[in-house]
Amino acid sequence: MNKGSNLFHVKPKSWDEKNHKSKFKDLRGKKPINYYILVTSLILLSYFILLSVWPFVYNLFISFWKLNLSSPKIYEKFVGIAYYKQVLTDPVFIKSLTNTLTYLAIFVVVGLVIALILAEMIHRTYGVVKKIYTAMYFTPVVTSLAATALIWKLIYYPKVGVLSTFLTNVFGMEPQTFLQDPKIALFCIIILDMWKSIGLETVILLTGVEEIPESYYEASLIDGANPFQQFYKITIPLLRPQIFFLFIIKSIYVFKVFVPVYMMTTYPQGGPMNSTQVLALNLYQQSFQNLKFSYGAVVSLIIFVLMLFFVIMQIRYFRSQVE
Amino acid sequence: MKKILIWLLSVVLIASMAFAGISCKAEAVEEVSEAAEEVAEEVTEEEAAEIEEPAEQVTLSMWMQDWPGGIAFVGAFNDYYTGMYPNVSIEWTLIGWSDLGQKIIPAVIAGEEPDIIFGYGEWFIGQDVSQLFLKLTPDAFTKDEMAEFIYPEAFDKVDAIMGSDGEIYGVGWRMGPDFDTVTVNMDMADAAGVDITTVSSWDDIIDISKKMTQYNDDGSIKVSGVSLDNYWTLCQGYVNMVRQLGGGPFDAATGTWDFNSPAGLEAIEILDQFVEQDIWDPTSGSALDAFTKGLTASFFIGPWYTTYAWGTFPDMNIDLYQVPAIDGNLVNLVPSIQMMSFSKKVEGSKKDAVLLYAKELIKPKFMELYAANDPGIGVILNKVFVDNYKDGDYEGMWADEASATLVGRSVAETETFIPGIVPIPHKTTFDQWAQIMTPEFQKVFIEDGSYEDFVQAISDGLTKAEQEKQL
Repeated sequence: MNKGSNLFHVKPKSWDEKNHKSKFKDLRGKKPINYYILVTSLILLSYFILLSVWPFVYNLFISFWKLNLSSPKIYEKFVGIAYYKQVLTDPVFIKSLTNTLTYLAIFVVVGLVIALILAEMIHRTYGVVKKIYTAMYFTPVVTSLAATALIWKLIYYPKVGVLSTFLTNVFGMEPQTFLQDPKIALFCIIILDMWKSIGLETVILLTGVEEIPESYYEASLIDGANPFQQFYKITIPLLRPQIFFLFIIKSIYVFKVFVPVYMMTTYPQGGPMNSTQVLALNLYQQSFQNLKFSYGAVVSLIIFVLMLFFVIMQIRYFRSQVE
Repeated sequence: MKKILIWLLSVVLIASMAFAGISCKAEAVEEVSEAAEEVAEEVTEEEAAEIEEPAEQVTLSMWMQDWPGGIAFVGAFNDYYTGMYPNVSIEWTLIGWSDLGQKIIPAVIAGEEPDIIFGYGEWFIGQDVSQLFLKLTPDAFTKDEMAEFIYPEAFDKVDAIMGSDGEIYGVGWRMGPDFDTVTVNMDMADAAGVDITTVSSWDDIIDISKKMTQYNDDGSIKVSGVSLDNYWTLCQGYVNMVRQLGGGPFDAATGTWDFNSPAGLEAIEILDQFVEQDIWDPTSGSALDAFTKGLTASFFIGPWYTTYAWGTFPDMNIDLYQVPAIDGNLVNLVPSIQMMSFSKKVEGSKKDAVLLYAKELIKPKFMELYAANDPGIGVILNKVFVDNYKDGDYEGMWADEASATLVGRSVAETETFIPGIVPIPHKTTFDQWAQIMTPEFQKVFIEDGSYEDFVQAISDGLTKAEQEKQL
């Protein structure tokens, strides 16, 4: 059927009918509104406003006020941007920001690279072995992060723990202090987090790899491509949607990372010497340990802005790549 | 569509700000008028009025810390109280220590607190408890009556107990100055030939700790003689040491901390000796873990841990010794107080029941039940109990010698600690102290940082935190 045919004898719409701004006039001849869907939508929208929009708005509000919790007048004084100045000049906050960005760079980039390699390797296996490998890498994903963090804390026990003893006896290294060493404590926690999450990324990427038609690889073989070139020039470009998705969710996760740091470092968490202090932990300490809710509100808003910035930048980058 | 959404969000924001402002103003007006009425009532009352026993069935709600020792003695006291007042029953909710500390004030602000609240004084530092809890004087007892049972040093000018109006808003029965005693693995002490009863100075502590230290073949520490890795404890201990050395680190008028003094430098130097003399490995992890794993022979935490360790690790041979005041200068800040507070929402029969509970709480019976169920007390705030103990009234009360010894140690600790209490009117919490001071301690211990940098950094950090309250 070509564009000009009119098989069902539908009266074509005039320009006015097509572009009429008034929605009410368009209801003539349309199906009646499904009130059940409307009510459900309103309920969901109200829920969203109550649990997402309202807390955000209230957060913004209290970030400009000094609160006095033991006074009947809780909102004691309007202080403008005083808390913003405090937060942005607080060395602990700045340290938590740099640690979080370090966490982001390593957890997202290195984690994805490892997951890509694992997905490609698993893709090249067959049958039961493939399933075993997939299950093996996915198992940590379904474990509890808190429990896993405690186990890894024991593994990382300074000098006499499992890992330190292994490295000393097998490789002759000096006893390691891991979580007590300010230079490597953060990396130790990142390794745990990567170990836990890499299975999920691998499975997502594996699904993507298996959807790539074999004909592309066959064609590349004819052109003389080696496995590395096939991986770099065929697999990775065609996995862009999955990589993009994982970049986004991993970035969002990093800005909220709290459990492994809290469980694996001793009181006051974030040590030694604030080397594992991250934004979410700083927020928790200021809001819930120190009861400085206004300060915590500012930190949470900064987390939100950073998260939004990263997500928007990634969407723009990947969209330009796809185009 | 975008414009509509932006407009809608702006309206919601402005409305919420206006609503919050209006509602708190209304609350403030209401609270001020209520407070004025209470003050008018107070002026006419000089003695505690007789509290009527509840005529009707009353159920009191309670938040209690989820820990076996506390459950035992508070449970015993609740049974005793409900036995006296059969119309009253108590329903408690057990909550972990950390969660409980974070729940109380938000619950009070939201009006959802229980009738009876178990807690610790450090959770209310910087708060005006007169705005948070039920006033106990003179309705439950007068301050003079309280002073007959409880050491005045434990409530007079203590922020967690006394409100800004000088009235009492809670009852404390025990203080936990964790840096005041050292728990020792006696098998290691005996193997090293150390007599912990001879400790009378910090030099003695360093000396016996050195003897208890065990080394690997390469000279590295295998078992620390003592561990300082409980920074919550260490921060308070350091402040006490500075004061005992003659320093006055806090200026209440300006809210300024200043450890840049000979006392401040000497105190950190004393503590660093444990690292410098290879007695403690600061990268060996938490003292609580290390002690039970046999990786440290002793550490600075007092009697409550001893009872806990006996229950959890019955095979460990444990004892403790008191940390002597430097040069005999007994100056101590107010440490953690274990206490109960009460909801200011209670009315009628419930209020009577709560006031009767508070009235019984200050009497020695509570302390007797505590000591019977959890002998690792620490500093005892009930002076009638202490006097009774010294008079021999509690002979044979404890099931075993170890428990009897612990209570005896607690009485001895009480007699040396209480006279030295000189509160510091700081508004920063112990959590803030730990967050600010711990990284600086670690720079000194782990990276051999300078003492001058340490005192400057903690002075600046604590002052900034203190003055945030004055924003």
